[in-house]
Amino acid sequence: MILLTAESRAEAPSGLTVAPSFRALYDAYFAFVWRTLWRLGVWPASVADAAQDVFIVVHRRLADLHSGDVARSWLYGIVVRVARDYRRAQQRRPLNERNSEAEDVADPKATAADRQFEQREAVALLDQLLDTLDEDKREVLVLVELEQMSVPEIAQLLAVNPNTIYTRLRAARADFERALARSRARERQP
Amino acid sequence: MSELSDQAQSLFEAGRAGHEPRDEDRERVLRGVLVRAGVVTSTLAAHSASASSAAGGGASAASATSLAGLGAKLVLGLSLAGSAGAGLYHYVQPRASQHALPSPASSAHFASRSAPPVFAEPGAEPGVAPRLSEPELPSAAASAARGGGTAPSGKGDVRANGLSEAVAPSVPETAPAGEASAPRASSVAAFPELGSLAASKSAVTAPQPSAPGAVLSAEARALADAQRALREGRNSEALSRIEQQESQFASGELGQERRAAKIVALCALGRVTEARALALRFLADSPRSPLSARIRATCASP
Repeated sequence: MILLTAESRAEAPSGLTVAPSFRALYDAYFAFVWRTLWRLGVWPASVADAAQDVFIVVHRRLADLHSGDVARSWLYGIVVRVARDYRRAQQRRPLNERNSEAEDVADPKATAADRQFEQREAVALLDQLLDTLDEDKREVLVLVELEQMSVPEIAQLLAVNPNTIYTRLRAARADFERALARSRARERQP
Repeated sequence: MSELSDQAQSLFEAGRAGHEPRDEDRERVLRGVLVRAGVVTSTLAAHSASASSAAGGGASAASATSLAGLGAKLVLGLSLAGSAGAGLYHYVQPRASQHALPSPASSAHFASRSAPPVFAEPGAEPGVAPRLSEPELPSAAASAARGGGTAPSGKGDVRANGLSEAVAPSVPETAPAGEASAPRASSVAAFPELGSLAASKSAVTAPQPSAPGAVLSAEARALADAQRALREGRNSEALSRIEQQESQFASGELGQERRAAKIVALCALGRVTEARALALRFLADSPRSPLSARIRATCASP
């Protein structure tokens, strides 16, 4: 299965599937890449850099995307690796760099003029709870719960046995629930 | 299919709509990619970006987004780039201090290492890339279809649905539903094989009375009841609830929170000595707990 975009479809002679062009991938998946880097724990100040790195790789490896691949999975594999590198680099950096560009990157007025305050609060809490998870658990949880990917698909893109993914997912959900319960209990503390 | 609590599920629901990029982010990153990939020089990118803004402003009636304008100037014939780059991932390590738009010097360095030479044409005029311009037409058509077909305002829908958006609208009638809507559709619909796997999974993790999640939510509920009693001034009830929970959830997850609530309850009942003893122990055990500050603010402050 290949996800055909407007461009690749227009370029393709009838019945022939071709890999989408860079620009088609960029337009179709930029938001996905941006969101996912953020959710995987790349600091707000670094999301733009990380997105750029992802698309540089996409640009170079476009030839590796064969028809028959699901473009999103292929892209996600790149996003996950870039996010890992960033998280590791972040561990060596002072925490106060986390949001150095955040006002620019995540100005609530610009990203969510019509969004409710509660929604923003929920997203902030979600990030905070995801931050408590181990890297591998966080990846699986984000993929399943936010990107709504299937376990077999995740297993394929992470090159890990599906049973391992199920195990991680269960552990991730349990850890997340614990972190949530703790956070709620603290909030309610009179 | 999710085995998460309602609370957790609603957080993830909220999260699915979060962190959408702005149009500026989209353009800024694209410029950076083009520069770093050697497709354009940085000055060229800046020039084209401003040209695209102007074009976008002038043609706003046609709902041409500035992104489409940018595309017109900087279209990439990337089937070529793909064949030139066997894509080595290690070229792209995180640059801790580098900004989204690299300096001309660093991008030139980058380009000299890795960019396909055919694209590095610093002397070329911004708009002159005839052989590369073909892909733009369908893209502009897609934008137009987007603007006219779904939401006239254009701006919101690009953000809200960036993923399926660009994929679906151009082929609404012809594409098989599964293809066009796969990215945002439920996983089960997009991946039929998941149905059986999900079923086998839920057999493995069928809720048992003693499942850790169930115990945790019972513990959290019980503690919430006690905390509510405390807020509403039913202090002895709160205390007796907490004491009962101490044995019921002796190895629970919320011990710290329970101890803090107990200190507050004892204070409220005027049992200051007991409260203070508990507070001392709490602060010794968990000096860095987020609850420590609140405990120091009670009657039990040592």
